[in-house]
Amino acid sequence: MKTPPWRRWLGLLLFAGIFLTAAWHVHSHRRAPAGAETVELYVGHWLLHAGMREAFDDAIAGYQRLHPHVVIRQIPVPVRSYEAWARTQLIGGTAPDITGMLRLNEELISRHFLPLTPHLDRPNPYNAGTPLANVPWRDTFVDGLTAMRNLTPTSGEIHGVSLQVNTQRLYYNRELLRAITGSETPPADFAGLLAFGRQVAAYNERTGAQLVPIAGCGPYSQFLFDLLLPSQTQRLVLSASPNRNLRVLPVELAGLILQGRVDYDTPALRRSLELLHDMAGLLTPGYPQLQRDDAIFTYLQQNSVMLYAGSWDYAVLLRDGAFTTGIMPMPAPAADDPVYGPLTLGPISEAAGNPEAMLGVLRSSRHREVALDFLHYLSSRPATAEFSRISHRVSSVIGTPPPPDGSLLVPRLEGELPGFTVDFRWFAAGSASNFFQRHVHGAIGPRGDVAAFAARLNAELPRYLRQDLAWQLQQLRRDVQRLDAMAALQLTLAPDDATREGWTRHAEMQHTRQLENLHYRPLADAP
Amino acid sequence: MPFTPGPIFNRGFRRWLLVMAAVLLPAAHSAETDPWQAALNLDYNTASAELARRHALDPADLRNATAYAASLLVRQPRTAANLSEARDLLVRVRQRAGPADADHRALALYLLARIEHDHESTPRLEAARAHYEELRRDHPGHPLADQAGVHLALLAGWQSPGVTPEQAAARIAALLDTVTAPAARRELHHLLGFLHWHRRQDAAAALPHFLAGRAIGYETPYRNGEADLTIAGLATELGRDQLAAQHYLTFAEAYPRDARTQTVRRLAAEARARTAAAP
Repeated sequence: MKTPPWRRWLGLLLFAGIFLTAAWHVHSHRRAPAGAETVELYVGHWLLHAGMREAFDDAIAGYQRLHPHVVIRQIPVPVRSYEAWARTQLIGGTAPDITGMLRLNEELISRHFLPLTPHLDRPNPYNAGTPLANVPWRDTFVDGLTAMRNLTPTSGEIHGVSLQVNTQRLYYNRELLRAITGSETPPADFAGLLAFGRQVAAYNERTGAQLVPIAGCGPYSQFLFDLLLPSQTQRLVLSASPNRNLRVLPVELAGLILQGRVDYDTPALRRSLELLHDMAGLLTPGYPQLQRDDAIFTYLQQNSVMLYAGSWDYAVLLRDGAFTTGIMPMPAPAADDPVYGPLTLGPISEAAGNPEAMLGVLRSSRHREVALDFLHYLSSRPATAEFSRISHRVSSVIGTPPPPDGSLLVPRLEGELPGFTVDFRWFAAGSASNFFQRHVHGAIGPRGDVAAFAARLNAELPRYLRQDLAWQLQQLRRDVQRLDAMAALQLTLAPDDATREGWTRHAEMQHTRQLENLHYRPLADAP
Repeated sequence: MPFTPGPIFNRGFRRWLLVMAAVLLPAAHSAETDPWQAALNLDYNTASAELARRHALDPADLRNATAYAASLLVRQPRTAANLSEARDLLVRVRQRAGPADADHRALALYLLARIEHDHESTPRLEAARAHYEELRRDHPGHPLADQAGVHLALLAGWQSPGVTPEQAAARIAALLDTVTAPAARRELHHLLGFLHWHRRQDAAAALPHFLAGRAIGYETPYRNGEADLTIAGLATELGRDQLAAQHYLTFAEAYPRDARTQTVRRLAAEARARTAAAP
């Protein structure tokens, strides 16, 4: 049968039609705001938790009232795909004018984001008329943007600002707490929390309920252990810090273990494991396999009395909970706790904080000045007050009122130094951490055997620590090589270039890394 | 019907297009690429590509040649060929730099030493040591000669099998006597303090060097603060409570938002109390 002539062209016509529709869509999308003077800005971020998009919308509306020629649009991206999305956009040259800096490495930040350092020593103009009017922009943030500077140690530049500070808190269902304990007053210390766990068990037995004391999940339990377990190593830090600088970094702890100076029978490390065992007993059974949404659902369904979660979760608890939620810091072991008291120094300071909502301006933005101006506005006292109120999250700008009913979300600035964790979660390639996590099940649960777990760690962990150490030293060696090029390129800058003198800073960084590499090398190479 | 290129796509025309692209595209690109800025932004490959182009245009320009050699040390992927090309370039820079151009000669020699020390897959320590010593001999007082002294100290203290910590300390102290640049003196003091403390557990010998390094001042963020804590910690162990309190308080004032600061204030108060109670 002969094919009609029009069928030969059908595919091509369809293709052309689709192409023209797409082209028109892109064209009209770009031109939507119209007006030759209109400046269109995009803000890409991962902050999708309840209240955040509304808070951004409010701030954008406030800015647009002041600058009617500017149109700002949010591009919210789910956190799970944000990192890949941001990398793709940055490398492809299509990233929004203001882009969130979640999990971006130093190379990407330095390459694609505008250094803000020159602007940070001047006051934020939108703070005029507030107590921060004459304060340098940098000093209006609670941490002085230290966390942002840590992202780019090679250049020493600061490429973004963080709008919020995250904390983790124990949330509790007031009504359930009263039903179980006869009071709405939560436990004051860790011993009280363990006693509360026993009260829940008795309540379950009495009523046939199946309440869990604290809804837990894998990621949040890590936050919990990171906060709680260092209470047992606080005193050890005073005496065992290799550089006597009141901290024990993971590489230093690896060194102490490989040198045989501490092990998991050392009281501070053993107590950390015992504390982990006791704390795990209060969490949802099987918590390591659960995710955030599981834990929040358990709590909102009133299947648990408490929830250990982030300050970023508070808004959803307020919005979706059919009960009243109270907030408290995680109760730490008190000094008079007969088991866990002797090794503590007291409640741990949260002064360092965890920065959140880190945003920077792209070098490639066509409207860098306007984007920078909007960043000033977003981090000004008037804007942050509203942002905090709407998002129910803690602002990183000094003096911003805490969110309504959320004063306990604010970081506790007073407190003693943190100890160190014993699970090597943040160390090097993660071999030691993987080993720890693979076998920790033997230490938790009703039949958990902490002594056996400690013995296993003592026997087998050093092998993995050596692997991690070798990996870390390899990274250091790459840094040493990179810093040679940095110093040399600075020395070949034009003689009148002000940044030429910075070569000595790169040389200093190189010596620090080289010394660490050489100091730990014998431990990594040992059989 | 298969696509058949017309006369416009003949071989001669395609060759002409390729030549034009090679000439025009890099030129257009270079108009907006500052290789030094690209390197400072950690975009090493862009920096290296642009420096290669500039070096090809003017091979006699020693500044471009040296910068290009430096960029080859970090160009990805790292290859032996890049390293070899960098070495050849640096040798030529040394040969071509006139007697008045000490800066390029010193930098070329310094980088040659660094290649032997840390860029080869198997470090050639003796070759590196020879280059460092030649640099110090030929360019006394040059800042890079003093930096070479720091690398010689690292070789002496941590990469010389059979040398005791005491012998290493003596060698580094001798180097310190010959170095004048503050940045290098600071690093040598730090190395001596570190060696005495970590390898000899001698707080009394380490402390003066940590103090001397701190007095010169570090340039990288936070390092002054960490040095203050180390000094205070060692001073406490040596019973020098007044010194300990002073450095604890210096830290606390500089870093009020550090998570250690409340503890540091308490330790300072305890040190002061011991000082007051001392006879």
